[in-house]
Amino acid sequence: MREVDPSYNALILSTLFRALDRVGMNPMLIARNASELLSKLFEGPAKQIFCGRLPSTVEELLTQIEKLGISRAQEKSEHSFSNGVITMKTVDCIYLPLNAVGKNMGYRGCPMCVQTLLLAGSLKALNLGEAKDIRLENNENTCVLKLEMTEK
Amino acid sequence: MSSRLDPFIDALIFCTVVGSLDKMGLNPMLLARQAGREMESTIGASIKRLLGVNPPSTLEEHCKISEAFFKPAQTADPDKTKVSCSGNVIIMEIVDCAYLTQAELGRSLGYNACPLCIQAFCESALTKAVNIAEIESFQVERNKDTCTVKIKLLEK
Repeated sequence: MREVDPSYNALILSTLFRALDRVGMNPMLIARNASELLSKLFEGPAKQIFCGRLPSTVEELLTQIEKLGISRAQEKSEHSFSNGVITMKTVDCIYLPLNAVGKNMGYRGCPMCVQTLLLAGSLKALNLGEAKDIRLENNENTCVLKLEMTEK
Repeated sequence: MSSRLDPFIDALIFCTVVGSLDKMGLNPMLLARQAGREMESTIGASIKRLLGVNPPSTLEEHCKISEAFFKPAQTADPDKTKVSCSGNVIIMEIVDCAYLTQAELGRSLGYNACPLCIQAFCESALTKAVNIAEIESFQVERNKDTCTVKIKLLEK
């Protein structure tokens, strides 16, 4: 399998995300709509990302997402879930080139956080809950995501 | 830990985002047109950085630069992939595309292949970004590991 240069991928994704942002598509809206397709894929080929067993709790989902390799420093990454708030700290995210391109475009970081999209989309797709509010902070190579959700 | 993206995760994200937009009525052409405007601000610097050349001024030059892009980007086999033009059509013969995983996922979602051909999307956005031409439409045909992309341009 050919491996794409992360900078090139960042250029494609940021261009797409910024274009979406300009036409009024925010991450929450996209995640909600993407969840329907994700749920279809999770029952089929995408089940493999969860090692063949779909997460049945938020905690399981967070553990599995952490294992996907989005963070290149998994030992420094953390997650927690309490009172309907998910907190995920990602160190050295594989999508950091997207952050750099995003900053060039005038954003504070990534135009849209890929991990947030995946998490919010998966929550709904797996019928675990729904994202209500998302806050993201980026400090050099560390990102902290706070996702407030309604539980099912 | 690899510094490269897992193609499957990448395909999953791209497929679900583009597929859901498609369901909301945002078609790929609309996205490509909008993206061209966004790419305009960053692409000039990227071309210089990746290839060490200035943006092209003719369609032929543009095709050469686009073809050369495959070497650093590695989004397809750089030795077999060709970009040419005929009249107001850009023709891309893309061999061993890095996004073929997306085509498989696209099929699971009911598409013939990729919900949106990233190569066509990028070339369209790039063409608009360097102000060579406006895009009228694009068409993609897949045959095993080779895809033929035809991008029809509007006459200036």
